[in-house]
Amino acid sequence: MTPSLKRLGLLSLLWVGSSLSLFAQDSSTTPTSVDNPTTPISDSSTVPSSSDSSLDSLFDNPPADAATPPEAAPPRIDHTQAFIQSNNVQWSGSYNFEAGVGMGWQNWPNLSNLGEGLKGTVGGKAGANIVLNAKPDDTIRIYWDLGATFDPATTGTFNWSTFTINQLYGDYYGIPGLFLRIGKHIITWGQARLFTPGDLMTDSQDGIAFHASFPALLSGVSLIALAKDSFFSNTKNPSTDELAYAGKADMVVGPLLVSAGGRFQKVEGLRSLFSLKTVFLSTDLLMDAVVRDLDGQITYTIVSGFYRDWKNYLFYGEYQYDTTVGSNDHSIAIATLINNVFDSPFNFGVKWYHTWFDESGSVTVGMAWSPKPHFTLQAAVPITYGAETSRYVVNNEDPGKRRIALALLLTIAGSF
Amino acid sequence: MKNIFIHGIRSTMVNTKFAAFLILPLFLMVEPWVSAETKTSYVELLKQTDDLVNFSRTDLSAEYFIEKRDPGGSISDTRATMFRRDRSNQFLILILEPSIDKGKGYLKIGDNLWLYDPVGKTFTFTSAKERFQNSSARNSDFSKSNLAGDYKPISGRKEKLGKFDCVVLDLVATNDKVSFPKRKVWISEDKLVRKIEDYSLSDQLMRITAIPTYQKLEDKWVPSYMVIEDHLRFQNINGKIEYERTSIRITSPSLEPLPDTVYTKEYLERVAR
Repeated sequence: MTPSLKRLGLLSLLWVGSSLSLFAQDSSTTPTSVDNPTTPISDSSTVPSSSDSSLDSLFDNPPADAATPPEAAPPRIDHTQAFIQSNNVQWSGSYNFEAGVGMGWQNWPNLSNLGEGLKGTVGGKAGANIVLNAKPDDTIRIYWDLGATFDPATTGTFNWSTFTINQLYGDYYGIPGLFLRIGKHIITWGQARLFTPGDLMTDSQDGIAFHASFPALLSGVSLIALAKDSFFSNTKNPSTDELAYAGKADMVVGPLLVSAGGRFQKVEGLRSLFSLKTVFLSTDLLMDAVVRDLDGQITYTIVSGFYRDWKNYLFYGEYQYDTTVGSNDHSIAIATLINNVFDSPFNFGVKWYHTWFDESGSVTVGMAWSPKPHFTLQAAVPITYGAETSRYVVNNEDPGKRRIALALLLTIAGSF
Repeated sequence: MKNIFIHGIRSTMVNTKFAAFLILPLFLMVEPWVSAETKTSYVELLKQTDDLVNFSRTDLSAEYFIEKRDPGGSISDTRATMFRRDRSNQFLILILEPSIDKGKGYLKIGDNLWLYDPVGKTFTFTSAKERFQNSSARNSDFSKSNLAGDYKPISGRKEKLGKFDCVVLDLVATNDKVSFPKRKVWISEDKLVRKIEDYSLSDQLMRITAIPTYQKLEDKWVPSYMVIEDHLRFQNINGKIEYERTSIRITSPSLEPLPDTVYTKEYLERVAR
C-alpha cells in the first residue's frame, strides 16, 4: 500500500477511493490477454478463414515501395529532440475535495442494544498542489511540487496548512551514462504492493537525497546518500557518518527481473533487499526478501505474491512472513477490484488483511460511482476484527476506532 | 501443421471439404518428401528477409501513427515515437497521443518489457507477447525480425498475392518466447514479407498482417504502411463478421545514432510528460 493510502485519516473508506483511482490508471492501459479478448470469441468453427479477409485487396495496386536514391544521404532525424526541446517549462496541478459521514460501533454491536457504542462522525478534507517541471536545456531539469491540505482529522485545526514542499529536486544529465538527482524526492524499492517491507527508501521524501543512477550498467544501478533531521545529533553541524547510504542493482536474467540492494545508517543498522519478479501466463509473480542487522540481531521478512488484471478486473494477493516480533508472524492480503460492473459507472472493490500472529485483520468492502467527470460517490463498510490489543485493532486507521461502520464519501477531484 | 498446410492449399486451389479430403493423403505423403535442400533454401530465404528489415549497425527511430478500428466502427488513434537498437534487441516507445496516454512508454531489453505509467511514475514488468495499447499489434511487432531463428519452415509454395509473386512458407515456432506458435508468411520476390497469418497451436487463425508498402533506408527496409486484422476480436454485425483492425503508418524513419541511455528506465522517466 502506498503511503498516501496509509494516511486514511477521517474515514476508512478513503482507502477505497484511493485504491479505485490507483487501479483505474492501470486499467486504461492494461493490454488484454490473448486468452481474454474483449470481444467474446465465437466457436472456432464460425471463425472465417483467411480467405474471408479483405486485406488481400491491399495488394492489388499498392503504392510502390519508396526507395531512397543511392546518392542521397541517409535520413538523420534526432527524434529525441522532440522531447527535450518542446515545452521547456510546464505547469500542472491537481485538487481534491472530500466530504463524508461515518456511522459505526466501536465494539461489536450488541443486538439487544444497538445504540451502545454507536458513534457517528462527519468531516472532510481537501488538498491541492501545483507542479513546475522546467527543462532549461537538455542537461538540466527542475521539478517542484508544492501542496497544501485541509485535514482537521489529522491536524486538529479547521484551516488550510501552509504550502509545503512535496518534492523539489534537480536532475543533471550532462555526464553520459549517469543521471544525477539531488533534492527531496520519492524513491521506491521492492516489488510488493500490499506488504511493503522491501521499500527501504520509503522515507526518502522526508529528507534530502543525493541519487546517482547508472542506467546502462546491468539493467540499472543506483547509489543514494540520504540526509534527514532525525539522523543528526546536531543538524547545524551534520556528520557524514550519520547519513544513510544505499545502493541497488537491477538485472534481467532470462525471464526474471532480479534486484539486490542495501541501506546502512549507523543507528538503524544494515538492511538488505533481494527481489524477484517475472511474468508467467500473463500474471505478475513477485518476491521481496528483507534482512535486517541491528547490533548483531538478525531479522528477516519475506513477501511473495501475484498480480493479474483483465480488462475490468484486477486481483492482487500477497503472503508475508516476518521474524521481527516473533516466529509465528504469517500474514496475507488480498485485494480485488471490478471496474464498471456490468458496464455501469460503478466500481466494486474488496480488500482483506489477516495475520495469524494474533488472529486479527481488516476487511473493507467498497463501491464507487462516478456519474460525472471529477465527481465520485463512494460507500464502504470497513470491518476490523481481533482482540483489543491485536495488531489491526491497535492500528485501526479509523480515527473513531470503530470495529464496523458504514461510511459515505463525496469526492470532487481533478488535475490540470 | 498439416491442417495449416491443407488450409492454405484449400483456400487457393480447391474449396470443398470433399476435395480437401481427397487430396489430404497426397500431402501427407508429400510433406516428408520436402527435401533437406529445399528446407535449407527456405531457411536461407528467411535469413535474407530478416536481414533486409533489421538494423544491426545503427539505431532506428521513427514516428508511428496507429489507428485502431473496433468492430462496429469506433476509432481510436495513437501517435508514438519508437527508438530501436537491433544489435542488443532493445526498443523504447513513447506515447505522444492521445493526451490521456501521453508519456506512457514501453522499454524492451532482451526478452523483457517494462510499461511506464507517468501518472503513478511506476514501471510494470510485463511480456512482449501482450497487446500494444490494447490494439491488434503485439509489443513484439516492434522488435527486430527473427523469423529464421524463431521459426522453422515446414513447407512452401509459390502463390500470387495481388501484384506480388510470393513464396508462401508455413512456419512453426522453435521456442515459446514468440507471440504465435505457427505462422504463414508471404515473401515477395524482393525478399520482403508482405503478409503474415498467425495461428494458435490448435490452428485457429488469430491475426492477419498485411504490409503492402515499404520504404528504403540505405540498404534496409522499413514498412510504410501495415494493417493488422485481429481474428480474436470480432462481432457479427448485420450478418457480416467485422474484425478489429489496426492500421499503422510509419513516418520519418531515421538512422541517427542514439546514446545508450535512451534505452533505459531513467530516460523514459525523464522524457515522459
